[in-house]
Amino acid sequence: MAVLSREKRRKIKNGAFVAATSLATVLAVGALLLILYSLLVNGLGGLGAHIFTMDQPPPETLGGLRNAMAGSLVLCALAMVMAVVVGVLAGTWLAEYGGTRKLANLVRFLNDVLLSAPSILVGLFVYEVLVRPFQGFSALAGAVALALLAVPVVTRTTEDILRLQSNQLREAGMALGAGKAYVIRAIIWRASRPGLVTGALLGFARISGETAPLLFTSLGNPNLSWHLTQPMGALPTTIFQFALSAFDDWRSLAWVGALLIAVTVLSANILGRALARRRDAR
Amino acid sequence: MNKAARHDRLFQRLCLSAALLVMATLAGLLLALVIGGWPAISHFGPRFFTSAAWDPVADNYGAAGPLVGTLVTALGAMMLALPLAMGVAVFLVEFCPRRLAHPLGLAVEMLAGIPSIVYGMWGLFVLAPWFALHVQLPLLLNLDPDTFWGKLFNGIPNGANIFTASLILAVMVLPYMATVFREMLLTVPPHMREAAYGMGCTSYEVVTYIMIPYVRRSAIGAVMLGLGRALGETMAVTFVIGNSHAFPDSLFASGSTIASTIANEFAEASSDLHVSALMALGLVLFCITFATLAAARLLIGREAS
Amino acid sequence: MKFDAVPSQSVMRPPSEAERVLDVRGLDFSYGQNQILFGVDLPVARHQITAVIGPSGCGKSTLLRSINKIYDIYDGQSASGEILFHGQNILNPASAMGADNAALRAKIGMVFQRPTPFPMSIYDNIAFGLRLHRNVSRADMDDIVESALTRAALWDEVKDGLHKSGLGLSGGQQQRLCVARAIAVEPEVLLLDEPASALDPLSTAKLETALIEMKDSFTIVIVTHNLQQAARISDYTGFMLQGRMVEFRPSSEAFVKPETQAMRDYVTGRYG
Repeated sequence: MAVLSREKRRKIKNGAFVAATSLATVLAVGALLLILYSLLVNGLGGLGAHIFTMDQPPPETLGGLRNAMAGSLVLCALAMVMAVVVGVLAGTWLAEYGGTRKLANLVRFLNDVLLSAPSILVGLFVYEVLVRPFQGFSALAGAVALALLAVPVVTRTTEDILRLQSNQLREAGMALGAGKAYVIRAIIWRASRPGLVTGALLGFARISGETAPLLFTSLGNPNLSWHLTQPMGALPTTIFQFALSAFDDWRSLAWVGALLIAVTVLSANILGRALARRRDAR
Repeated sequence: MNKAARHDRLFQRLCLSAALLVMATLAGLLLALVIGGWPAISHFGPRFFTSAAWDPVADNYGAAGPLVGTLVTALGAMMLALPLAMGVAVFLVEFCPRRLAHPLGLAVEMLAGIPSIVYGMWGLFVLAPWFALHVQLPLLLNLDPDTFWGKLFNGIPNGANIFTASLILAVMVLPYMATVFREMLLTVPPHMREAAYGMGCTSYEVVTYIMIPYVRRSAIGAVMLGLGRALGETMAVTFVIGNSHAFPDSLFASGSTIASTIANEFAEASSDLHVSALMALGLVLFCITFATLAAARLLIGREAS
Repeated sequence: MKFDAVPSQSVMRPPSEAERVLDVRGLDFSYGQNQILFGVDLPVARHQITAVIGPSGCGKSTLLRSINKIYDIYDGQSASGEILFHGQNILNPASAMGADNAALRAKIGMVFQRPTPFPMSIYDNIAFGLRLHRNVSRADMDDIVESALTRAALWDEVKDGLHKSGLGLSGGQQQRLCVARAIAVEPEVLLLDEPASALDPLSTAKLETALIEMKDSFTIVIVTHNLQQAARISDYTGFMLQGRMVEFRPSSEAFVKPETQAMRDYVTGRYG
């Protein structure tokens, strides 16, 4: 009898466990669906052509998000150019030259620290270096702050991708009499191109919704501006300002902005992963 | 030296300088925070860390309120998210029909990438009002404010408090942690699972005695990484924590975190001491997140080698 | 010559029904759309060693994995036919034996191809299975652990380090630890799936000796691709090909007088 009741106890425990994990999944997925639902309902409701053709309005007038979108594009593009250059070179050094040297391991560790450093601290840092000395908020400072957040992502994926290339490829290139630098640039980078693009897309996904580092670097600008030395608008900063406001039309614009950002980030992530998958399949 | 060799050397140096730039950035970040924060720390001394006074008007600053707020919300978020994330990961790996497991896993992974400002907005417009109406108000009306429970749940019923901030943080780190846990559980070799099932274990026993211990070290590392995210998160918290600098005296009291304080005040700070105090807060946050990350790295790195 | 033709003959000289503790009858097995076993019979005699041999891919491991229903933890794998254990068909979920896989697997233990020490100490590896099924006092547990390790011919090598991790043992020791872990719960039947394929000759010899000595207490079914091993330790041998049981006979005659052409070719090594 004692044996039987033990078996029964185990079975009940197991049933409770299965139920608990199912419940956890329902709760988690439910909460996330709820968020997506709010985002879609509130965001789609405010969407229209004027969003793309008009700048952000004063309270209680019709307006769009053109200046913020343009600003976001400029900031992210500028940041990605910087991040890809620095990140790919740094990742190349780690994969091709650094090896397991102490310096390489230190760089790897610090890169990881930067990868998970609170983004608002990066904003503070750039403020100290590029805003305070020049006495003014600027788009350039915002782009640098975003670049610093994307660099560790690009560095890391670059190193991982380059390491996947076979040594035979390197040796074959060297055997033709090419220098190491030439082999890396002409053969290894080319063979790794889809992976490098994936890294860049993941970096872009990371920064395109970042708000905190922009708050005191590019600051925000209610008007369309292309001047890199002036404050520039961006979707996240506009959302922050509008969401906390008391005006319904501002809040509605904030939802539209949030939807646009979410769609952008999701697309970048999906595209990056699809590229990575195609590489794996090959 | 011939041309090719010179070219090689140049390229190597270029790559090295990019790598060193990463190091320099971090060093610069730390240096900027130390230099920027030093005036406040030297002005107030140890009191800066223990005092809960944060008064820009009187130019008197103490970090205890935001510091405690940061720790409480992040730890609270982990307490909520950890069992859920583990449950999701176990369900996806062990119980979910295969056809459903892949898309579900992918969906959770995608949600991990959604920017925190989206979570923050949802918290502000959906969660906080619901919470105020359906949780806070009933509790406030039905509990005697002088009892333990009354004190614990005391607060202005507007949904902006450290508990809802924790809740939002939990929802935000949940997909990230679930994804990492799932990847870890998938690394448990199939023959290990089979051996455990083969001796008559129930699923519960296989998961708790074999699979989770197998990934324990890296799982703790992942928890630390999640904690690091929660500690440094700015936007999701700033929207819903209520932004009061007082030392939180109940679960439903409004409060602030280091990140939310910096986000709210830095652009407006006019006095040098105020700016410095915010920098010093940043330094504290940097030290905390660095410590969690170093611990995570130590745990995960060791298992990999 | 290749073994891609479906064997046409089959020869069965099974033990009498009274001797059988386990009886596989007409077992079909499918992985999705893919049928792997076709009406396989495997009569298993009490306290004997039954070996199942055949080229890789013939379905012998699948047969073993059906007997303690380990396939059940994966989607899309299904078995039909009869596997009688104490007269009940364990494939029938309505039978007492078929309803509870965990209880079934406690009675029909399994040792896998690759050593699978759990991430815990040697002692706990063995105590683990026992604690699932009953309460055991500390002193009793010590005795059981020692006895299981002794029967698996591992005690002398590990008795001074019982609380060290099982992952620190050599491959051969790990595999004997898995045998000890399986027999500690006193199953009636012990299934071994290529247990020596990852081991060196010395470790293999130690394992085989331990298996022969364990015959008195357990019924053993071993799947192996190693003819010599089957000849050395088994009492009955089944030869499988293309998902079918081609010959099943006492080992004493199976290797010297193979009757089917397929088995003759296999024994004489014309097939890898």
